[in-house]
Amino acid sequence: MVNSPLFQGLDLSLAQGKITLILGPPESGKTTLSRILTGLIPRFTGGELSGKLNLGRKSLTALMPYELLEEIGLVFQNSEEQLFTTRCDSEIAFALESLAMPREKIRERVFSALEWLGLSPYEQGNPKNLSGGEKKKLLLACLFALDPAIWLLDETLDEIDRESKFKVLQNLRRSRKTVLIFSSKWLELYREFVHRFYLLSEGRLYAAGEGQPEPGFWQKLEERGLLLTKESAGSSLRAPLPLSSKRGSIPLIQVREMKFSYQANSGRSRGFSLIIPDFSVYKGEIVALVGPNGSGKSTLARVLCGLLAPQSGEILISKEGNQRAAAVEELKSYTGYLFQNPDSQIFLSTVHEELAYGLKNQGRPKPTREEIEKRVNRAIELFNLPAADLPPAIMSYSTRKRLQAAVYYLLERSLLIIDEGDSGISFRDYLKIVELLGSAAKGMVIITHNQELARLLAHRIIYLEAGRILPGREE
Amino acid sequence: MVLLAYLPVFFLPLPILMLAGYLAAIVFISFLCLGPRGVIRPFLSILPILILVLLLTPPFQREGEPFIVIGGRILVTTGGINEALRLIIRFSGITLLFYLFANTTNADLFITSCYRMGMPFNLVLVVTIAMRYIPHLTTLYREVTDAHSLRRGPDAAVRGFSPFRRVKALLPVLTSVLIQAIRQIPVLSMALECRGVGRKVKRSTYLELKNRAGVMADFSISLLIIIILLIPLIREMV
Repeated sequence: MVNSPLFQGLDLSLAQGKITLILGPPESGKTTLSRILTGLIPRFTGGELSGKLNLGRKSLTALMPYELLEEIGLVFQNSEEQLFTTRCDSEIAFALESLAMPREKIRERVFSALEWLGLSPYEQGNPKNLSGGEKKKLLLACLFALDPAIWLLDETLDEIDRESKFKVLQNLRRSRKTVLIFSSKWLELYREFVHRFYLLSEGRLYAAGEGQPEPGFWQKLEERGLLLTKESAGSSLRAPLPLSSKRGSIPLIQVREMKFSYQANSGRSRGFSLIIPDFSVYKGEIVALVGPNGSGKSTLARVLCGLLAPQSGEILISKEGNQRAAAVEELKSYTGYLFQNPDSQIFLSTVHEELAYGLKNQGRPKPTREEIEKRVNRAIELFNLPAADLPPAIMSYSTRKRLQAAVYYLLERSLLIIDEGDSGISFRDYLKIVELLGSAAKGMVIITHNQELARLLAHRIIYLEAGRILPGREE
Repeated sequence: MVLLAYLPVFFLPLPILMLAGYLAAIVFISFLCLGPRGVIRPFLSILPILILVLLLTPPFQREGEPFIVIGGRILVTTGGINEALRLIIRFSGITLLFYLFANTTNADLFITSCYRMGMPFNLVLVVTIAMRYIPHLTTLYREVTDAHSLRRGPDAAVRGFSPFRRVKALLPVLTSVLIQAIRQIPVLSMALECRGVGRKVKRSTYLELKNRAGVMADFSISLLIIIILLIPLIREMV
């Protein structure tokens, strides 16, 4: 990691008015490259950068990031890192204020940007109250309003619903923007909109086609776990659901006549309520929850794990062959919930501490020190984590996701909920996580925007929209 | 901003009853604006400190007439009680005013007003970030607490009122919040520069301060109230 070059002989030129895609496995340097192109690295991180980096005739290395405001815009992989005002419209307006744009013009652009991605209802709302996908949309709206010559999108499209993904790519293609998309997985949408394809691997950038990817491209993607196929899904593919699991047996968890609403002062411009007449997961089952951003998927997950208490209804769990209502505290130790953003759940100073924390706090009987060490080491090996004494803060996003999964693997919860676990990591990593977690839990709920993934992995797909399960859309 | 202008009153040597009346007025305004929760919540958050002030101030303030005498020993004097009450009113009033300010003032509008009054943008930015990150730290604290609670077993929940156990349970949470907050510093700097912070050109403002005349009227009335409250003090001095 130290002193070895991250990139070698990297050549990239962005054609004006074209959409370029760089696919790369985790830790290949996509985020680093995006930040180099905006002048953030090595300015903020140190390191040695050699070679030429030009924007037209201007040398990028001689310019500060704020001087490139009208030329290059970047959306970070982690949206929490890039939102810092208390209103959505102010967030969009911030960069325009830096350009000393007149107020009326800012207002025009802010309104258009909000409308573009359906964020108008949240105009004066606090960005922190938006869902993960809505935050990404807000950041895209910031770029839309700023309208830089080049757009850099670092794993931006993963958490956005399918319809919005299509809208964004269609708009970018039509307006002939120069766009560079970084992604750790192939999406079929790219075929329709992307002009140029690259593969970033082992420090080198391989051109992989213009207009359409070259024939050998698919194999390279599959080798690196960036392509989702039945073959690549392998042992993660759902096992047939045992007959006994569903007919006449008690569900692992069941929600009945549940209603949850956010309080009036929660910051959402429109009230949101989750109304679930009936929802259940059976032993051995994987259920996929899909739906547009802000439909209530994460809210339902939080109710199922006891972080949110519904205003009415009941949540029943299965214990020792009997079904009974679960108290909120009991749900927390029954259901494991992997947050959308792993940084919200990783907070200790080393990998070892993260993995051991849960084991030490399970109550009685407390495992011995040797047992804890053994299980921690096993988890490190299974999830391909780096050294136990490494701080998570310097690990890549995908490694932090694997660490998050390893934590819950060790906790052995009856039900596991993985919220957008596929965003920001390769298919291979995600499928491995699902396989390992599936072996440790009795049932699973996966929340995803990728419908192909949902069809491949889940026994049932449930569609959620505006806080309601869409009737007749259960697959 | 207008609310904060009332802060100095709590530091003036006014009669206790007047200060108490003043605090009662602020409680009433908070009740009207934020409801009963808006009054109870800030008080509950500082209740342990208020109790400590009530218990520890009288033994160290011995002026005035004896109030509690046990076995010939003067434990508490009227001066001690007076001083304790004054401190309690001051602390409560300041807390309530800030709570009321934070819950009724939009941070972005506050920043815009500072900028329009001539505050340098760098200072405005510091205040913006502070105002954004203080509630963010609260959210972070809640997220870390949630994450901790999801990892504990059913028998390991912190129960009971043992202060030692509660503090012990709080330490890993606070450590985690601190680690997370520090991690965000370099990334925040990157995000700010990506949005143009550092450019030499004078920034424009998107948010417009409405009803400027109304704001000036509120401010003038506030000043008038403060002057009226100062009249007894001025008379005494004269």
